[in-house]
Amino acid sequence: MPESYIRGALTEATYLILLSLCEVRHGYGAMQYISTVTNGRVNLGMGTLYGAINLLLEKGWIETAGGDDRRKMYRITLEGRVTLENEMQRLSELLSLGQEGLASTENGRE
Amino acid sequence: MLKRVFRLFFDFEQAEAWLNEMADQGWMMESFFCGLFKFSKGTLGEYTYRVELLSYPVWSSGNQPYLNFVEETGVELVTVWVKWAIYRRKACEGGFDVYTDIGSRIGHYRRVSRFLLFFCLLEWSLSLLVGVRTVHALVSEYSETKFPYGLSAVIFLFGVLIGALIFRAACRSHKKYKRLKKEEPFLE
Repeated sequence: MPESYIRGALTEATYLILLSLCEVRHGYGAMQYISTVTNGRVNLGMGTLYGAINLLLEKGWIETAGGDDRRKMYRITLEGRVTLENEMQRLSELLSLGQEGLASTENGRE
Repeated sequence: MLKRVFRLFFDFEQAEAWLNEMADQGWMMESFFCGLFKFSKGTLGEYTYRVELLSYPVWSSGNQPYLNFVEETGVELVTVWVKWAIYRRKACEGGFDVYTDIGSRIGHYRRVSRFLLFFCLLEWSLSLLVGVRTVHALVSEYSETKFPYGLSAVIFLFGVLIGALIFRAACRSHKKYKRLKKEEPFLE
């Protein structure tokens, strides 16, 4: 049976949330980290973040890490780390392709 | 200093825009009940307001974990009305949005259009009942003289009008849902 070509790319929000939870954080902490680290470019909506955290928990890419009912803490799991690394690889490939592609079209024009 | 304003909104984005306009003029919404808004005087643009349709009915506890989370992010829940939540946050703490990615925005518009469609159909069904009853009273063999035809007609027309306004808001939300759905495979 041929290998499936379905590949899962992460959205920017998911990527950043996984990244933010490489340290144990609560939801708001993740939100602030993402905003800071992107120099204010990415400000996640609270509804978006809540939905994403629940999905990531379901997928086993993050897990709860203490805190109480009012302030749950989260951290990335091993599976989540692998996913993040794969995504970084994918993005790196795309970036290289882009740089090569643009450079060659410039050369073509000369 | 309090101000009371009675205003009916069927479109949540219009309501949100109006609440923020009032806030820009120094009036901060404090409570809501059946179309009656209560405002308190504050500094110009002191708060930013957002409106959201929650995922679970108001009688279930399903919304509580989400509302706890919202509170944790420093956003204040001003009130919940039926299934609508109104939030606010001090403008000096920065802006805030409920949904920032296309997937959850799509989910929200869909939830809103379905919710509104349900109430539109409910309203029209009730109006239909009133209408049928009225016509029945009119054409029955012993045409009821004591039947309040006038009042009945007014209730019927009012119900149809309200249903139509709700339907229009449902369509608007549905259109936005479709537009975003088209973009979803290509943009975030």
